[in-house]
Amino acid sequence: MQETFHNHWEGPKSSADTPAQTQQTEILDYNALVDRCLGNIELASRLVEKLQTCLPQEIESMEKALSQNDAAQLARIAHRLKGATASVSAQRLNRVVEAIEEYGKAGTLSDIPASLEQLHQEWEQFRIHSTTFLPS
Amino acid sequence: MRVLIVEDDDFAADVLENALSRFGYEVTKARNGREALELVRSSLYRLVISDWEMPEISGVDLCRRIRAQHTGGYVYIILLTARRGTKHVVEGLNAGADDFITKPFEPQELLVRLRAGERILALESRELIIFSLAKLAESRDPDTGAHLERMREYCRVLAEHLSRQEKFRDQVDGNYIQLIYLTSPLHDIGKVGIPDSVLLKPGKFTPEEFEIMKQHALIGFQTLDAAARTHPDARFLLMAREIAISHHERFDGSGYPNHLVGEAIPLCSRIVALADVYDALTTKRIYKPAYSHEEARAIIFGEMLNKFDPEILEAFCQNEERFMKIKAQFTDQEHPTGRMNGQSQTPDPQGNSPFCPILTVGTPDAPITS
Repeated sequence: MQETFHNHWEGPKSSADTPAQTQQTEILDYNALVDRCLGNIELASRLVEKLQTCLPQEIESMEKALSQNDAAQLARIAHRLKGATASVSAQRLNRVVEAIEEYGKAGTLSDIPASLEQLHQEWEQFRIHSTTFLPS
Repeated sequence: MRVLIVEDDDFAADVLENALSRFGYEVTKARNGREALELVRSSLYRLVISDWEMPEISGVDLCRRIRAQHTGGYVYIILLTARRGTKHVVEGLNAGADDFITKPFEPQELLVRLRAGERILALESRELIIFSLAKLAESRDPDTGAHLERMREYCRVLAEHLSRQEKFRDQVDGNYIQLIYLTSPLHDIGKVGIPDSVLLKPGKFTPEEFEIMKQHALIGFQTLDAAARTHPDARFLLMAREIAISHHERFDGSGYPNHLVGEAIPLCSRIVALADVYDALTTKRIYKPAYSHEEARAIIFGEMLNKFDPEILEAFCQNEERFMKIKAQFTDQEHPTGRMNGQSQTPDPQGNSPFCPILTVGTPDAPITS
């Protein structure tokens, strides 16, 4: 099973990536993740799975906080996700949650629904793309 | 080496733990500042990597609390932060952080920063070991008290003053001051080679015994020289070696073992000589009471005037208040035998001061100070 993951890791990212590859890398930079894990494929896949599991719950919690106009709670959850997505090298998700954290800290709740919508989309893309790196 | 990770983000904690384990560190994880403080209190952790933003106790608060807490040794703290900019760096440094790593971190950068931390901690360990050795060497004499603690402080004060003088500016810099603070306690390490029958003799030395006692300078030199030869880049060994051999030399050539004169005596030894004599004069010995600062000053600038480098005497004059404060800070406890510090000889029946007979002109071969 581990071989399946390993086959996806092709060493450090090449500078000659195509635009499509670049886009996919921004969804999940698996090579960067494995580098950060010092080649520990098992840890890399465990972190991807953990993010896949926790993200829907965290999005739900953010929506609940928004419905209660709780900007501070929104900022806290977004901050947590910012750390998680940065560790996993999910750059696009990371940018969206970082924006939500800033809105939450600033108390500008009106900007958050659009960001949450974007977060749903990015999450879907992450789920599909990251699954290719996980064991079947 | 043990590393304590303080991180409420499971993802970052797992990645850190993996990297540190791969680098050979023994890792413990704390999920918040409270847990971390408990663990640091155990004195088991000298390296701490903490997230900046955590609920309850932030990384910056944790730094402050660790610094306020007196643990077994220095704790090197690296803050993990997504924050950038000088303002945050200053805030972290003010709180007591030693270094920063930006999240998400690169493992190789983490390793380099940890190695830097280990080097800092090793320096502290080196200083403790050197001072422990010096204390061990003094421990055979029950009268030692806080002699070494005061000595190194006096030396630092004198060296700091010299560092501001044009003449010494190129020679005495911050590193020199640190080195003399570190090595001056080793001045009498050669006493480990002096037999108890001489070192601990309660009465006056015979000329033969005094010749044996004088050997401590050479024994100290030889001991440190052996180490310096195998570690020629270790500057502290070179300075310690110079101090050991020539701290009993006197500016007018009346000292021992080589009867060096003036600036032929290494500067570090000229500094130690004054610090050593001042401490001997101002502390109680079995054969004399502790002289006041004023009395000691009168002796130094009276009959001993030619024994010391005038530049160092000037440094002493300019820092007398600091000397008195150091003396007050490191007070000796009375020993059950009545001894406090220094030599264990009885007074010279001829009236010469046995701890410092050099005070009496014409007796250069008698013991000088502790």
